[in-house]
Amino acid sequence: MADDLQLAMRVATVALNLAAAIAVGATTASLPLSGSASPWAARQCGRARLASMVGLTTAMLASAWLLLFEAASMAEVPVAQAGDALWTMLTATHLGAAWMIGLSALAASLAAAAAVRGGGRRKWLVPLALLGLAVFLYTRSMVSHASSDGDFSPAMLADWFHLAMISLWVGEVFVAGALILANPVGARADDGNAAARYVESLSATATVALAGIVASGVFSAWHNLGSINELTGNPYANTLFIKVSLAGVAVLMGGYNRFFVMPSLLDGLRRNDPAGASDVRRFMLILRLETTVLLGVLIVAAVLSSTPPPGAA
Amino acid sequence: MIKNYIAATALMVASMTAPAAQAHGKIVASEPKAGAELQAAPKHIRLQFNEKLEPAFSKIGLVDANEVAITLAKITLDKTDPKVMFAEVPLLAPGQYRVRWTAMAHDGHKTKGEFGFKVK
Repeated sequence: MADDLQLAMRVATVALNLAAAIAVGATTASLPLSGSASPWAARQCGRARLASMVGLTTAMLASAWLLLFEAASMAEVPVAQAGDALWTMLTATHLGAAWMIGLSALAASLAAAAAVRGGGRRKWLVPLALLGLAVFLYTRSMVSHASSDGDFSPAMLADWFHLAMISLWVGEVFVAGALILANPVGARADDGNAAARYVESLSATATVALAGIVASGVFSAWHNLGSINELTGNPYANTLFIKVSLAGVAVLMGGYNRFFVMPSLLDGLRRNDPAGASDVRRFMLILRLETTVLLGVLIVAAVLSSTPPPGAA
Repeated sequence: MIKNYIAATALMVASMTAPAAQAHGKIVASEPKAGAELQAAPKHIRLQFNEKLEPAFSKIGLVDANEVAITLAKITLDKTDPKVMFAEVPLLAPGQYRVRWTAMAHDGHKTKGEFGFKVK
């Protein structure tokens, strides 16, 4: 039973992290797409808003399942009998308090996303939706390994920033490859320009996210330098190696898209060149491959978060 | 620019190893000590961990050499140090005993362990 529960917790964790990342990516994607005269951009903005709402709803459901599995695991009872443990978890633990804050933040974010209207109306709600997601991600750090120094430590801040930037990267690559660019760009000049603006924004935010991932990671490395000697020859180290290798592959794919595909893609979009469609397809294909690799990173990360680090009993 | 990307990748690969240093809850000190041979029966069991504990899901169990559980009074956390779990122990007869503990840390991770001691 314990193994099944462990697997269920990992599945729920992957679903939660992916859903939250999609919500972050879709909400961010709606910013450069909104307020344009392009019918294509208006359509994609609506799709991004819908994807954000689906992501937020899925995250809330996955979060609820995760808490139930966590309660069953802690009380060492079957999931069906974990009602009392769930109540204790909610009312008497740090994890339960963080969970309630996180769920409230997701609900607020969903309400903000639902209230945004087409044509850029109520656009001011988009940053509020992102704020709700930022609070939710902070509550995830509150129940991670980084929380050992308390809820407001530099280590926590670094962990939260790391998580937020990874969510932004994974989410916007997923949303661009699976949703926005999968819809053929219209023939109007407005459409080409709006698509070019979107691709530029995607590239800029992904670069910022990557810089943030590196900066917060370097801080954590400095903070935790003591254990580097233990990073070989144990299950934790091996899992970590797989995760880092996959992330490295995704970075290389993103770099290829940025430096080898994007220049001619932007040029074709701005000139409304029909021959540019092959660049869009190439760009999208690499985004999709990158998404698949990043999904692997999320799965390995979920395994890692429930694996005791070396020396931890 | 490509060099920057490669440098950034290398830095990220190096830096993502960081979370390994954080540990799940583990014992750093105990009374009685693991493997101790005591002249007098202990009046309490005191376990000090490396992380703050959740009292609702952390517990201490005690069994004798025949695996018979010995009922302990209420298990509490130290008011001044939430990394310390404490339980009063009834008078123990001479013999071997094992302490079995479960600790839930603030990060929601559970660890378990056990150790023995002897009352002469």
